[in-house]
Amino acid sequence: MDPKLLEILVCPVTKGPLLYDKARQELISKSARLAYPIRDGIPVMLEDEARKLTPEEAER
Amino acid sequence: MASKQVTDTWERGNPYEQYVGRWSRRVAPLFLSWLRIPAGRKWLDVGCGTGALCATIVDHCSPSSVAGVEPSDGFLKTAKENLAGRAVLHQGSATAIPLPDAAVDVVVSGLVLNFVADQRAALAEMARVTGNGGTIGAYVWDYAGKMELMRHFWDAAVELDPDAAKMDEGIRFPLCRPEALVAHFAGAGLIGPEVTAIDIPTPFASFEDYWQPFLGGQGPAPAYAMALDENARTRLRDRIRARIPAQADGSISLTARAWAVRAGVAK
Repeated sequence: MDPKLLEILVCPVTKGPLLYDKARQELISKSARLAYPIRDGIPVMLEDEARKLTPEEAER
Repeated sequence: MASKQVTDTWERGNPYEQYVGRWSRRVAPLFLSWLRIPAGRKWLDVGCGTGALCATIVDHCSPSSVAGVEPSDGFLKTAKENLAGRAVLHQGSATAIPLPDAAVDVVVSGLVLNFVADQRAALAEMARVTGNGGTIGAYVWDYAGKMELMRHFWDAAVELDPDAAKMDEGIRFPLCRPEALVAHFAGAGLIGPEVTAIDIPTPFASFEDYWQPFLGGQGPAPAYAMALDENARTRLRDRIRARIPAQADGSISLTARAWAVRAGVAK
């Protein structure tokens, strides 16, 4: 993923900050409790395509 | 099976490109000249498709950055190849743009606004991500007027079958009129909305050259043409041929008009 993207992107639902999980290739929005996938280097910032965080992940 | 009735050019090109993509691309530089945005600005292209407008921004506007957001992953893959790192791309919706408030100076959108389900929400999002003093600009085809290659098609189709009006973009997209675009931008609280016509020539060597792209099936008019049976399609073709103005050598000179709109953002 283009590192410039991490600087500019926010969660499309809450407009809150995102954390980059490099191992899972996801952008984590704690405020929306969602993980947005990064596919072929392109972040998929669509609510419908995001994974819901488990309670443990949301707490972390 | 009858011999193939396709030309070499047609076999090489993809259907969307042959039908309208090749004309869309010519509007982008004219639109950007009209916007007259100074160098060094941060741009966002909403509904960037295969990246044609992003590439034109990079080539003509000396931007400090260009971002593109697009919901279709198929288009994005092509955009990524076409742009090769000249713009940052992400998959997202026009009504939930994943950028912070006032993130960019200029937001543009080419041939997209009328396809967005919630046009008001999309414009509100575009305004939110634009900084104070920034600009929002967009263009759409003049489906009801001088997008002539489509207009001749639908006018002939509706003469033969009034039900065809349900698919006519001139009827389905009331936003694509100058007064509607100004009202839409003013209604979003944007400053001093202005509209201009951008006309490009769409020349065809012959009627066959005009008609062939409609057989590709991509886009509402080609989809309508290909859903007809052979006889009905021939009737439609002959009706269009009868009404379309041809030169003595058989060539056809049509115009494709886009309406461009721009407005300022004050916060």
